[in-house]
Amino acid sequence: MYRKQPLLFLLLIALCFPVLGQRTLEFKLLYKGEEVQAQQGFALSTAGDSIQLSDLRFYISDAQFLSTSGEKTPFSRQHYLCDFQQPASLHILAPSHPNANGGEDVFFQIGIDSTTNSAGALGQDLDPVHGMYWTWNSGYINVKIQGTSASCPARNHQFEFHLGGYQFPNNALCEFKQRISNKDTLVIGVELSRFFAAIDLKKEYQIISPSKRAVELSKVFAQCFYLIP
Amino acid sequence: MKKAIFVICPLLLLILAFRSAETLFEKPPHFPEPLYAFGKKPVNTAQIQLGRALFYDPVLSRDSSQSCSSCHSPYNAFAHTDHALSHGIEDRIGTRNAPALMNLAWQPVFMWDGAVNHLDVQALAPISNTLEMDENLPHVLSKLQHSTLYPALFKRAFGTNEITGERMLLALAQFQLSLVSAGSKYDSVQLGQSRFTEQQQHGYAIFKQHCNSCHTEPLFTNYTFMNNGLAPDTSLNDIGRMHITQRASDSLKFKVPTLRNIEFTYPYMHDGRFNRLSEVLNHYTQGIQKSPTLAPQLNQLLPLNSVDRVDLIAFLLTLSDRRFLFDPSHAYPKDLFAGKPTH
Repeated sequence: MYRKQPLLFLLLIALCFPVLGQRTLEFKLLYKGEEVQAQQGFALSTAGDSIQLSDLRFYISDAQFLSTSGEKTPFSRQHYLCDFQQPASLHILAPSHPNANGGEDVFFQIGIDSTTNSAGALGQDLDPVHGMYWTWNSGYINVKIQGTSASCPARNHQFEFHLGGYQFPNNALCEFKQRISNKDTLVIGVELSRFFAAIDLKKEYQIISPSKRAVELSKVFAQCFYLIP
Repeated sequence: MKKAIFVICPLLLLILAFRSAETLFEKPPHFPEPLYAFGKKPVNTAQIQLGRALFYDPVLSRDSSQSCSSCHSPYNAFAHTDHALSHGIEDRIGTRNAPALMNLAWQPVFMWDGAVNHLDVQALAPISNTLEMDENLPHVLSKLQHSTLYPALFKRAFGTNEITGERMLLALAQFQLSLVSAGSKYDSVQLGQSRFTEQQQHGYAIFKQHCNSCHTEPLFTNYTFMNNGLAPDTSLNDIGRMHITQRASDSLKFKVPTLRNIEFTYPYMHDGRFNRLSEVLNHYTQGIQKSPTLAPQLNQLLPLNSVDRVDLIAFLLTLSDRRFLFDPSHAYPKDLFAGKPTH
């Protein structure tokens, strides 16, 4: 058969290779180690309160694998919008790596770099239609965390943290880098309890522009990321 | 022979394509190089036409009552003469005077306070401002997708009828990039095709001495932000550039506007407080308020006598470009709309 259909045979081989060598990067939302869904409320044990998330979205940029010899293997796209309302967006196709047996890091930025922020209208995950772009003051929202909490004194008990900013001194772009093992699926946990431990929703419930505090909370949010072994 | 034809024809087509793209946006010979990245986003006739339709279509506003042209009329060099402050849907009044639109390919940042960093994304501000169009991008795109007109226009402009935020914004930017004003008497004098009158020449000399450091030739702005000594309007309490940078040193600073077509772009200043050029000159000769962020060029009142003032205005009127105002390629696309609703 393969003698008769050499092209078909080659095509089958070619299709198999990417699948065999492919890895994925997956994000999981956690609260105190337990996986949660964005629409699912979860208890804040310290306050006896509850938080109901309505939105949790963030940009991942410049993702790549870094080998100990300094070799960089970038992901196929420069920017990914991860949206916990859109589970498919949390699974990112990662490149295979020829030197994966030895020490290797996964690296990405959380947010959008200044060059992209100043590049005008962009498409796909960067299209302003996704609600991750400030309309009154140009720039991407790197991280959007919204929801309600009974303890929050704002209207309808709503809190909203729109973290971003690309200009000095309020550049909110953060980085993540961690040594990985040679597994096909890399799972990054986003442990939100670390974020909410850093704020008191009774007093702080709204950040919607670039600021010093937005930078501080962006760094706190970046510390929520860790590689699940 | 056949091979040669196969090679030459595509080459000719390629050359023609580039030539037509160049002629769509021509840099006036006495202008500096534009800042807009035409290399990455080439000018395209179909995209300009799509942008022109969007610019004049109230579909961009929540109740489909206000278009970009509601506050940016071509006959006022794309400014708004009837109101000191721009107005939006349901007779809501905004907080600033709608600026004139021209020569935007040279402009580094947009809005009176520089809040917008690229022409492509400028339209997002008025679309979402509750005092202007009070709309949101996903809903605008939905309306365009369900319209009888736009899917075909997007296909012509971008190859497919997919309507995205990126495409809509690019088209609006392309139309606005085509708004080049360089056909005034001033321009013809610069190109050696005309001469100023004695009065205009005297006014030009005064301009160069007192105004040119901020309203710099040939674009008649240096695109910086300045406090020109206006007493703050306590009903607005507008801090200008400081609103964006959060720096006290930017308090009361606003974009230096171009003076091109100033004859048609009244009222003047960010809050439209002056209706006549004579009032503007009164401000610079008598009305400057001192404050920590005042432009250093304005530490002294301008020493203009009555003849200087008249001659300066005579010069400023040489910046009028009527060909720009009545250019049919900038006008309401009545053939496209043909009096029918687009959605």
